[in-house]
Amino acid sequence: MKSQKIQPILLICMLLVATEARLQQPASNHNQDFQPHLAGEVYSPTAIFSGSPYYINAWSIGQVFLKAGKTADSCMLRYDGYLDELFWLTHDSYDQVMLDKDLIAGFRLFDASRQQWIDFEQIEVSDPLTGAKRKIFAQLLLQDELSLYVYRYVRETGATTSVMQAGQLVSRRVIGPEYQYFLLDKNGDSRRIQMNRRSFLQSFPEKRRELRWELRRMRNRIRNEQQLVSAVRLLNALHINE
Amino acid sequence: MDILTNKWKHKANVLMHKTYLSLLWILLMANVLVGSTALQAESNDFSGRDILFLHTDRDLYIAGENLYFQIYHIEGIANKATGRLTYLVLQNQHGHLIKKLILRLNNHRFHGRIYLPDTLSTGSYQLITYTNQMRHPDQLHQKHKTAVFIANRFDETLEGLKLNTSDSLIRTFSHQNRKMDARRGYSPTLKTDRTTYGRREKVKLQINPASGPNSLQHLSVTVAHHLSFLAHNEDGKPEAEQLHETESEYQTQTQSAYHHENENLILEGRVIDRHSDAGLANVRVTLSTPDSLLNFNYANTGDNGDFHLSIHDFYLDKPLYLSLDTSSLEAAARLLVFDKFDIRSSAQPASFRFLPQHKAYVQSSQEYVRISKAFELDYTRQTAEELKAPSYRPLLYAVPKHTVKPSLFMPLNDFHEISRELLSPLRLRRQANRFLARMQIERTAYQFFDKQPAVFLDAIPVADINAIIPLESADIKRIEMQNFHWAYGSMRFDGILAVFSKAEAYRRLNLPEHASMIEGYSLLQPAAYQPPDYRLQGEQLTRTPDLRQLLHWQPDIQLKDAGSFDTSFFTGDLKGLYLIKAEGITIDGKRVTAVSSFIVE
Repeated sequence: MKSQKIQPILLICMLLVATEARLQQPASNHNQDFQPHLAGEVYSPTAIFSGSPYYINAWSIGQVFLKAGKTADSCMLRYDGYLDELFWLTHDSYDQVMLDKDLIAGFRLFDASRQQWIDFEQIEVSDPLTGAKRKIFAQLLLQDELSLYVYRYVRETGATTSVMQAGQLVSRRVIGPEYQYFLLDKNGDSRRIQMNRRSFLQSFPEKRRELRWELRRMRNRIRNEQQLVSAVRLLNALHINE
Repeated sequence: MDILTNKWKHKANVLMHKTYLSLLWILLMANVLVGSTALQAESNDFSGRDILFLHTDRDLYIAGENLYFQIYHIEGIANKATGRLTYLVLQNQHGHLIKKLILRLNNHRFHGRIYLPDTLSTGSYQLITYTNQMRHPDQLHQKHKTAVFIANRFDETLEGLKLNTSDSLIRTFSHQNRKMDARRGYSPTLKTDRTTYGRREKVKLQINPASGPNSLQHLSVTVAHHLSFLAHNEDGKPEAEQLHETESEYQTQTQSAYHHENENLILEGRVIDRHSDAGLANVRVTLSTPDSLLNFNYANTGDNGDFHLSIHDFYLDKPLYLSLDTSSLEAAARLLVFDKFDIRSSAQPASFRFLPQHKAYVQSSQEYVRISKAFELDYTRQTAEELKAPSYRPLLYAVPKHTVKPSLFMPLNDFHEISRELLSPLRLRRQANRFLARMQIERTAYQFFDKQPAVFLDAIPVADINAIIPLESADIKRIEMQNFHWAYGSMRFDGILAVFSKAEAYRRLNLPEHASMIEGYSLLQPAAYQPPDYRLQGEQLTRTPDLRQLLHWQPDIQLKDAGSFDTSFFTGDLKGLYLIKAEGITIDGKRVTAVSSFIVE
């Protein structure tokens, strides 16, 4: 008797859910047929290191933003921080393609471990010693008058280690992640900054007092990325112009 | 008491069951409706019902004149894009297309002009405007047609002018418009500051929208000699005409072939088996255009052999080279490109009412046009609207690995010598009087790819490298080599060799059987009518005759419910009765027309 009463309620609930799902169904994307074609070299880097050269080890779903203004959606991507190159896993033949960097303005990866999207842009930075310009992929941390980027590269640590390979002990050079932080203004001029309060204040001497006071008030010692983002936000709020 | 309780319980149960059933029914219907709406949204190709309207400045022209027009687009339910490609053709009474134009609407509107060639014979013509969607057989009746009459400048007999002994034109015209306005409910009022003017005098015109719930969304105003406007015979239906598509090989175009061209033109076609005419699936169709950078694009055919390629602005005004990727072909194939102008419209000439005065009017108009041409009078001004969107150029690569400029070296006699002396990654081997090419792999020293590299001349694919062997140093601007195993979408190349010539050497290429060259698509530029301004009484203006029969053409006026629109223009040198005709579209897509008149003495 009780189950007889519950059945229609269940049926109605199912239909309600079905209706809700249908209502939320996104419109199909007619532009999928006109997606730009990605170009690059079919290339699989030889793994000769100990450690991962990738920012996110697994292939991630993402988007590639081309310099021409077009976007390629739903691509399997992986960023190689050692080569500073973006790799694409083709969906038909599963080739690994090192995308032509000069065609790319930026890309977006989905970090499944943190359940968030990460944006990378190709920016031009100057070498502090030589002044020479080079183009790198850097993650956008804050977009504002002064934008904050982090260059997540991978370099050799100088150490070596031994690993077992096919029953033999082989020597491998150790690689590990490194970070460099850059501020970019609207003109595209870049300046490298360090993640510590002293260095941050020294970079902006004309507003040093104001910045120090605010950072102390916020108890921000710029010891991690979040605090650095907060400090740059403060910088923008103080309308510091170079 | 128990009986009563049971009775109430029974009634409650019945009521509950009825409620459940009603709820179920509502939810089921909701799902069906959501489904059909989603289907409508997904198949927005045919349920949108876009509507186009076309206004012309007059109805009667002399060949050699300009025809000014305005197109309005009323968007359909699902398709809300503001930019839209539209096609406009001028068709004669035999069904031949005289003019084929492509326009890009800006905010649902376009105004321009068509030059009517001197060679047009006297007769009725139709201007037909449509979008790509309206080419579908189900959408034929959505095309907008306007009938005009064109008299050849050198036609002395004017046999095509069938005179009618009906009432005066104004009464007929006004009557027809009153009938239209009565159906529509209202129209704007037109008021001039005077009813009579002299030569080259200023006329002030005020347009007042009629009060009512609907605003006028679009309005255009034309002022011309009254005999430039023609009334249709009662049995003529030039605008509601039903088109009857004749059988053609394009009749079997599937729904997917009629894309919304909201941003770019879409090139559509089919790859068929040469023998059986069946559509071939999964065949790659490539697209290139001559350029100084290596552009390349491709599309795969669907299950029925159809393909479509987006023609970005970069491709406009350039020849388009289409070819089939032979690696994706399993049978002899033929490439068909659907003609955007193949609308197969029925050529039922409009039947106009000509008054006895029309013959003399046309004869004098022919003389006026001749004089205007002698003085090189053209009252057209190109408007400076930016039509081309930021240009996307699909490049095969950004920067090649190797670039060589033969002009920097000793002159060499053919490409074989050039490759031997200057192009170290490229090997050309002669086999039985023909050359085969191999490219050295950049990443591995002294190893060569198994297959030949892809070869391009001025960005046009070359099927056989032997076609470029005759090129010598003096012919070549630069040579690019990309000696990687290169991916472009799902395509793979064992090296790429791109040669760029100094003098369009690609024109001497013989196209393979499965290739096709299209002259290219151009967009008509917007244009405005700019009559003389007699406020500035210059010597030149005084000497130049003003034999305009079109005094004023102002498209694209936007009115609100409240407020009027004021404009002014100058009369010319020709006396007579002039009509002011305002045509517009309300927000809900209804047409309105208003007519007024004045005299030039």
